[in-house]
Amino acid sequence: MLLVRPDDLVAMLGEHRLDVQAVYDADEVTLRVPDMGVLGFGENLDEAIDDLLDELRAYATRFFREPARFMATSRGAHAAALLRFALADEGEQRHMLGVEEPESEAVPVGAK
Amino acid sequence: MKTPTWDEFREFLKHDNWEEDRATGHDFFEKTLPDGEILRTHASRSSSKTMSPGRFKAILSDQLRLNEAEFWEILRTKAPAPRPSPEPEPAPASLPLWLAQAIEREVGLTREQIAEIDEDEARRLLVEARSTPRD
Repeated sequence: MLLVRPDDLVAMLGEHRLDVQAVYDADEVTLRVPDMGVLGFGENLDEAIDDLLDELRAYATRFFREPARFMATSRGAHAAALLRFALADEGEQRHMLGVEEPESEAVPVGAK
Repeated sequence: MKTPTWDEFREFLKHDNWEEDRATGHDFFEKTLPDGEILRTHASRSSSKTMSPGRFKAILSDQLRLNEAEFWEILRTKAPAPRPSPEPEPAPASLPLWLAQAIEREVGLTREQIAEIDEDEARRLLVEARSTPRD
């Protein structure tokens, strides 16, 4: 058994950014985290983001209720990202979804 | 593409032997495959509402790991699907979340218009919008 302070654990886990994909239909938006098989639903993007956050919280709760069972499957690869997500406050959780444009992808203003 | 109502989706889960995960909360379901892999899904309570094609494809590819024909076959036969599926549903067309948000806010496309463009087109439209001088 090893005890680690939550803020030390957050530092050890480092930054995690989930790959979140948006699927558009005429009257609905669906967000996917393909690696985890987690989906968020909404009638617009903001609703879908809120729903995805709830779905990820539910998945993290489920995962860490029976970690050995989940770690024995391909879902074991989700452990670090889910733990980081579970330790994050709501603002950090939103940041993990990649709502902000990554610097590596930045489309400069005025560049044509 | 024919899409199911949430009632039909729940009926599918029953025939495909998914179990409700009551500890996580209502309406979460799990299915453990013979190799130990765990599938998870979440059924909406909007019982008679039909889901959109993109959403149905996402559920099939990311959560059920079946194709559309297999889904309807389970509802018809009321028997679980053999897994792994020989031909799971391909993932639906999608955009990275940051790009989708930028396209909505900076380009001003509607959901219907965004549904019709691919990632390359979305990036092109974003560059174009950012290159246009604002008054």
